Amino acid sequence: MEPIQRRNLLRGGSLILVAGMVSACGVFGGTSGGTDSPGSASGSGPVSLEFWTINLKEGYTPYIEGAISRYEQDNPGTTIKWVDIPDFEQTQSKLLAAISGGATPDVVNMTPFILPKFAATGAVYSLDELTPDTASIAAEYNPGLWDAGVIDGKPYAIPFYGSVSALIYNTELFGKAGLDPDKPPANWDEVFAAAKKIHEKTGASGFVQTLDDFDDAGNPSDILAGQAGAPLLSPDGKKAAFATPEAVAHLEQYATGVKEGWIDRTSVNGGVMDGAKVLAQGKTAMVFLGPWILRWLEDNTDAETFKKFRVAVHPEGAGGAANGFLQHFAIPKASKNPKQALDFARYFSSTVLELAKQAPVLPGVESIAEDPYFQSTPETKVIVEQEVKFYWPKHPAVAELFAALRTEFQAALLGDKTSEAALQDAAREWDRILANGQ
Amino acid sequence: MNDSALETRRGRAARRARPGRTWRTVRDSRWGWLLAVPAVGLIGGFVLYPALNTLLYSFTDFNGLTPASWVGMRQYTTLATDPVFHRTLLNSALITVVVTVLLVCLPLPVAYWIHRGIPFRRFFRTVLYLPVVVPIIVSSVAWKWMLDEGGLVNHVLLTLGIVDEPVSWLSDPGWAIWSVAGVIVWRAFGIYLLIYLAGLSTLPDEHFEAAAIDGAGHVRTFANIVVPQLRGSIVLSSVIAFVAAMRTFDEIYVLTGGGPVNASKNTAYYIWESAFSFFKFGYGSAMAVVLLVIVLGLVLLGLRLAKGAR
Repeated sequence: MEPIQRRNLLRGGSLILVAGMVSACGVFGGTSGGTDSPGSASGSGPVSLEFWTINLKEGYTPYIEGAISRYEQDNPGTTIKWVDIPDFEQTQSKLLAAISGGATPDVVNMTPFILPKFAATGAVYSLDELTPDTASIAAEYNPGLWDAGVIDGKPYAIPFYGSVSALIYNTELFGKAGLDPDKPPANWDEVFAAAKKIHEKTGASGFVQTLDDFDDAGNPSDILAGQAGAPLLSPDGKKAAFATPEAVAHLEQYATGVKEGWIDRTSVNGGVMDGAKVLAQGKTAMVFLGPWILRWLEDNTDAETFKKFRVAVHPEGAGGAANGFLQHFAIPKASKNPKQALDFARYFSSTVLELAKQAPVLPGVESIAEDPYFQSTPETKVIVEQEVKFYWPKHPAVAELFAALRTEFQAALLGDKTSEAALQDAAREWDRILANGQ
Repeated sequence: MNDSALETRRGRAARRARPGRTWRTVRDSRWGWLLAVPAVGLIGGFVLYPALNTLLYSFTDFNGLTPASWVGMRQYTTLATDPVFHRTLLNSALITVVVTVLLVCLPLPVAYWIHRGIPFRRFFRTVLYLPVVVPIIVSSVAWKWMLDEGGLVNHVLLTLGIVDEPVSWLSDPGWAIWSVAGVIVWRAFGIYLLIYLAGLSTLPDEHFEAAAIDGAGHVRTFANIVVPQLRGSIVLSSVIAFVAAMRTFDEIYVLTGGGPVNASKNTAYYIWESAFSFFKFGYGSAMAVVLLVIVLGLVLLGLRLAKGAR
């Protein structure tokens, strides 16, 4: 009896194990979104579009619903079903599941982190397939944000809104360190010098620059390309090109800073909000984030503390432009009404002024940035006064590339490797990933 | 073969020969199969099918978006030379050994202590079980704040003079993996406590009374009565703790993201990262299959050893 029971137990256990492990990977299945020729539903009867946004339900529902309602009124017969995905990481898995199940949205809010993969596999439309007029459409948008959706020369996305990295700093710590709060650091040499002085005089760290994925949180692409001016890829896009002497010297500053304490150690393994938290607690003097973080700081600090924070333009780096991160709209291939979907995406990106008045973001549509509202506060001014550039490699394996870079950066910052060895190892790993393709 | 066995066989044969009985047997058997259909369907659909799919995809380059191409053993040969995978296996082993040993050993004396009727036993039982009912994501975020360099844990250690400067629990490669293991043990402790309490409640009081009459103290009673009699509960706890530790994901995701420098990345996390972050479902499937073989092999070995020691 006993051996039989044990065998049954093992059989059952093994099945549970398989299920558990598979559940870690999700249900594998699905095919491409299809390659039907784009249809045109405009004016050809009732049209229903499913519209996905990322994390906009909380706080922005009236804006979204109002904009949708206006579109529906202006386009009789068209109804919009709005679905909000609570966070950007879920967008990826939910979109995969939707494509597998053949129930894709018509317009989906994507990040540059996933667009290249969907573009490379033909899961989203190139806008050229939907309209012959992409050149004039492109002219309406911020060039830096539009370019983020152009992959191998083809536009795949309509910019929704962007976030531009700025300097957010604690004036009290500046004052205690003998620095002039009205003259924040304007370039990276000044940032490093100020950070050392702040740490020396106050004990707090000078700044946090986390190594996570968001560009406006200072990920490695900003450090290399934006601050040190090193190109990430060779001109043909097939090799890593960032292991330059300038990049090595710049990374060495970071390694020294972490070791000596004038760069906060949260930089090594923290995320965007970890960096913001350290600033809110008064443990560091500077972060380099989009001005949207001021809203979080206001909500999570008392009024007296919040008064200490000030925003300034992002310190000038050798890359010549501030880091940009953005949200854009793509049209999945499985959309039954892709042309109407494109029309809605363009319409929605034109409503961003309303969103910007609630959270300081850079509109994708360039003319909106000329609205006087953006001159009304320091945080909105820094958004529109900086040139924006998208430094990420627009490659399908972008997540894997960044993971490799982040690991090597961590090794350098922790002193496990020299900065030169870390960058060379990272470059070798990039070459391997790029050679494998995706 | 004894007579009763022969009789039984004859009786069975006679029953089989009666037509009415045969029909009833067939009818009962049909009902049995019919009643099993929902369970078989659920297991087939939600366990077997995904499991076989995983095995199948491990031989492809499936990326979740385009039809998969057969690549034979390529994913497995890549795994053999992938240093990150090797590191994750080592990390999985470290986490699993520490977590399993602690979760099998620590709750047992505590359960005995509570079972012996200490004051406020309900309070202790509730408090120790509380972390189990708190969502993992919530408790992990709370621990992330507490393990921060300026967090509660360092504050207490500094105040008590145990450390001279804050410990980088989550950003020091030497500490990150142990911090993760500690949080797992804290969270799961209550489950194993309950298993042992359930086991203890089945032990006859006479054993404890006899031990007391013989003059055995708590330690001796624990060693000579409780541990041997709870062998089944201990084996069960070992298997559950081992499998759960090998599959750890949530704590790593929230606390360290597998870093720094892959110091706390285990295989389960790497499977998720490969599949859902890198879109390498074929590669992730190959890792899942390897992990399954390892877990299954070790569980079988453990059970065989446990049987041998009996």
